[in-house]
Amino acid sequence: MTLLQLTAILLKRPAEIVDRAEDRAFFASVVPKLIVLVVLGAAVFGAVAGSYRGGVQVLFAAVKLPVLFLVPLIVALPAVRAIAEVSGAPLAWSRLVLAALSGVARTSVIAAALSPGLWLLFSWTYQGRDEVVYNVIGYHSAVLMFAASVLAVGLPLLLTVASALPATGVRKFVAMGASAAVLGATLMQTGWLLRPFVARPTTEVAFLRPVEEDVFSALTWTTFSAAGAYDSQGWEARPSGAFRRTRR
Amino acid sequence: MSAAVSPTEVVSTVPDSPTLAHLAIAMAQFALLGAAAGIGSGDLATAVRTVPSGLAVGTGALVMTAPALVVMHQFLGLAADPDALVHTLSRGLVRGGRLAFGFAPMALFFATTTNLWAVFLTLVLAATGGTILMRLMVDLRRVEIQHPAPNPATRGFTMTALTAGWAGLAVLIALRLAWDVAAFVAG
Repeated sequence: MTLLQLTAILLKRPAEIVDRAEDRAFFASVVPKLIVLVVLGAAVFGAVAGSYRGGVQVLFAAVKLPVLFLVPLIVALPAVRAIAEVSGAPLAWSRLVLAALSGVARTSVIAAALSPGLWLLFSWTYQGRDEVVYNVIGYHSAVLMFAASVLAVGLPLLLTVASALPATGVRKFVAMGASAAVLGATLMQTGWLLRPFVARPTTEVAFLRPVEEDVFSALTWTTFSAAGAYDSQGWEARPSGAFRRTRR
Repeated sequence: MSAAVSPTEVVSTVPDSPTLAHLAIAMAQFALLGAAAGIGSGDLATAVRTVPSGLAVGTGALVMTAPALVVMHQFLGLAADPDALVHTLSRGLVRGGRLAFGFAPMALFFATTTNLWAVFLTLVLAATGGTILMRLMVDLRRVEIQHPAPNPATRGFTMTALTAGWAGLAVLIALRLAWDVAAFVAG
């Protein structure tokens, strides 16, 4: 099966791939191809996100976005499987891995397809009176567009994983909701760790920022700020995580 | 003749009658969750004290309330064998261990990248406990209903009331244990 044929099946009938999880030869041949699709599709989407800043950020974001899509699978799939088992819908590892990888590959391909539209928006610039070139789309709007795009293309991933759950009714709903929460929280924190994807045009480019705070506190602060409630001392991102003491 | 199983269906691997080895593995899985989360404290002593936290709360609440459930079950004249109840509770512990173990990679991820290790551990233990209790209530009721009895009309309601009361007691005891465990972990 060529990559193009696999892409077609992935977009039209992903369940066809998931249902062949028991076939070991098929599993061994399709998993590398799915990973290639994830890397290619996500890299294109990442490159477009990085194009807002331009320069080496295009490369940085193209490298980081496939990692953003794959890390949550490694971290959260054991929890998803445990949730499914406790919900009375036990899943074989092969089926879960194939469903998750198919979902991410589907998401990556759709993200790549959305990329030209996003690039069109990000590429609009104008020259100011100070002869500096500015983006028409403001930085915060660009970040929101990127985040909204990630959320929109993340839906096929959830649908594909949900289709893999053998249970029906309330059990499937509970397992799906809990799995979505687990995958979502891990995806958000991974995105926070790997930021920036869409970088400010005026800032110095950095591949990764130091490990500091977490996505939830950052979102809380942003929400309060958007509502006009500013902390008098502001929000300072402090080092966090298990290794914070060694950096002080 | 066995029931038809669809190609996508996977039978649960939780044993019907868990052995001591299964229970020991479940306890180790709880301990592993504590160890993974405790790394986030950035302090060796705190991390070591965190290892048994989930084990103490989850297993402690189950062990302390199981005799009450079995005694009240017999006292109320319900039909299922005490062995069947104990096996069901053991299966709950095995499931709880597996759920805790499933969350261990996430606990490690959040412990190493955020300051939320304690919040995460609390949330996971609460979710694990709540899920297992609800599952146990359903399973215990099923065990009772499936057992032949002379007075089948009221025992469904009686069993539901009994398991609900038992679950409430288990939650209260888990909270009490969690209070002590939190003080122990904080040093």
